[in-house]
Amino acid sequence: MKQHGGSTAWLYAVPAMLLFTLIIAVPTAMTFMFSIMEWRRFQPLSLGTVQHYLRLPQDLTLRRAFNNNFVYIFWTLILEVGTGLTLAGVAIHLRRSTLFRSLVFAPVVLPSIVTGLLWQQAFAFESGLLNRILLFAGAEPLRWLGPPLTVFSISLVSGWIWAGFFMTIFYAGLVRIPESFLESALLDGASPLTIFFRIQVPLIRNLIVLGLLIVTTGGFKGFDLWQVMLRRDPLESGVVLPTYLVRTFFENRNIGYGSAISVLLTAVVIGIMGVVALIRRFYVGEMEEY
Amino acid sequence: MRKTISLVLVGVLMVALAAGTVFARGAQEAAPTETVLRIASSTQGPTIIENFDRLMREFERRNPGVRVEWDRSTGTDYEFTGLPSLLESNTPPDIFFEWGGARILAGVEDGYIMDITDLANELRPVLNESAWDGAEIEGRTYMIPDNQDITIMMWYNREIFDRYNLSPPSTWAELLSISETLRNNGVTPIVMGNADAWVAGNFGGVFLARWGGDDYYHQVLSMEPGTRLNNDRFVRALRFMQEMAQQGVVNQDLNTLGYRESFTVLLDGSAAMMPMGTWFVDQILEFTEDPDSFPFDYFNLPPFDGGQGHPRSIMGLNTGYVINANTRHKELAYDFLRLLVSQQIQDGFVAAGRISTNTAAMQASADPYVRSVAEMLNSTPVLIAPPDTGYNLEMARALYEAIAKAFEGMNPQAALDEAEQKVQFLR
Repeated sequence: MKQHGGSTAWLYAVPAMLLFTLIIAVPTAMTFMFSIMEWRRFQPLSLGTVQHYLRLPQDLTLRRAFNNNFVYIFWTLILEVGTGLTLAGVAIHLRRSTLFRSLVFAPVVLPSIVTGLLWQQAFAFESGLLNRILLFAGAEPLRWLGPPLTVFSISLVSGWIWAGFFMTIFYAGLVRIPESFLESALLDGASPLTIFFRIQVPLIRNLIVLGLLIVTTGGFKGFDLWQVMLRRDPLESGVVLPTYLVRTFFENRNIGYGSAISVLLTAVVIGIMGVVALIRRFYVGEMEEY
Repeated sequence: MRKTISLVLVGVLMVALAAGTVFARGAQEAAPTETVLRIASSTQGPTIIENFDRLMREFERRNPGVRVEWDRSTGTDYEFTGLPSLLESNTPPDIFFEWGGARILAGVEDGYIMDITDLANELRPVLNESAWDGAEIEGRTYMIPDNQDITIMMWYNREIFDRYNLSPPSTWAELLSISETLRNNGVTPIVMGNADAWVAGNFGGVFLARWGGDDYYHQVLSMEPGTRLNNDRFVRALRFMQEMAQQGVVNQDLNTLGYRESFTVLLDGSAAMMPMGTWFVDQILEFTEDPDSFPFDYFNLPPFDGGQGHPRSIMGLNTGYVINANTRHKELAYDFLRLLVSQQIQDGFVAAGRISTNTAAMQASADPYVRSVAEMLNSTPVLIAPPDTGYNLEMARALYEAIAKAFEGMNPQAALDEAEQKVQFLR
């Protein structure tokens, strides 16, 4: 077959490159430009300042937001990916149970504002469901949305929503594993748990790494639950980067500093994606994937 | 066959979506001969909404071919995200609600607020003199005030007070004693829903001014040279708030309890008092159709022993409406504001419990609540501006967080040190 020339091949990439330039590259460049400008609220005054970047390391709230984001990612790795994997393992044994999978997946389709409000009621100190259960069990009620539980509680809700999503992804991988692999293991006397952890999980590790990537990068985007459940969070116990960004841009109307935080956040997310890519390269390697 | 059915279904869906989009756009756009006057404000209680609707219909009746659109969102959302987004949108409001003071100055500097000194001069004879505080900057007027608010007064459940033979306190010691009685009877003395930060923030603001001194409060919050948030007087005031929390005077979950939820706690009798503004009267109508079944009354916060502020100071401000500097309907906006502050319209607002700036409407009112609050406002020697509407927003936020953390148990000095560090770059 005749090979097309390089110039023709580039043409195929033009739509994608155009989209990338318009949606990613130009806004990123503009955000960087805004971050080195002086502003009076929404009006640009001059270009060429580094004062916003000098403020970053001294910002207590920013430090707290980063910390909360990382703690949130840690918990969601367990509560979303870990629980999703466990549920997929259960679902594979209940292969005909569409009802089970539908129920576990159901929270994904609920609007996050509704979910947030429902859970806010469940977490309420005086009349919330969880504290009523604790009181019934003879324990002291907890302030679920106050420190030190704030981030954990939001992660719990996040896990409740997204575990079903990850279950579906992992389930799709598990059903693609040939039955012969599992039958051989069974004949060799492996228990269901051994088969799950030693055969099924390793064979879908590319999907697990995908889950890792979604949770770590997505962890820096979460806004709705935090905003709905914590409102303005006067204790800053649940401040995360997106809520802090919205506060900086809209409440404080500080475009320059908000842009500097965005640039830092972009750099951090790109760095994390790089680390995940490395994990994927060395851990997943070239083995067969399902 | 199945493929054909799927293709038909997808086709029908696409057509429906396209039709929906076209119809939705058609519904949003005004008829070619119609002029739309857009108003934006924070959400009000039911009777205020009813009166505002009446105002809009009356304006439309007087101005054929004009339609008034009212965009409203909850107070905090409007203040921090709703209004800024609307002003930057393709359909910005022609007239919008504002709190008098620092926000007016910011809006003028940003080029959003029109100089309406001529309209203000025309309306001066019908509005009371103190209404213009916070509406003027360097001799020019930018807001037509229609309402005067006290942002913090202590509302209490009369029935609970009667049950335990209590009466409104005249000193802080009495307030603490009342609280102890209530607590011993299983009633939360004071409930605050501070998830939005401003309730305890305003309440704490009164403490700061009463303890530290009214002028001192103003100097510190205005970030005058040489002042700092972590000063000894503010630390002492925060310590007092912390002691209140430690003694169980305020609800344990104040920093995670929402504004609306706090009303539920008060109205179901679990708590006896709530620091809240003059809009309380209208607000409780959201929760009941029979307000008389909730026997509430109010008192001003009692004086501190040893405090340097005036013992009868009040935290409050004037609110009103400004005109968007970029409006294409200036004359209509003028007419709307003329109608808004007219006695014909303000009589309805006063009947709903508002403290109107219209002198005649207030004089015509026989409502004892309205008259007593007006008396309290007019007789106060010092009106303290709330931190979040009277001063820089980042400063207010830092202070509110320090107050919330002090109530939470954090060392007041450390809480204010942190607040000071947050506002350093503003100085």
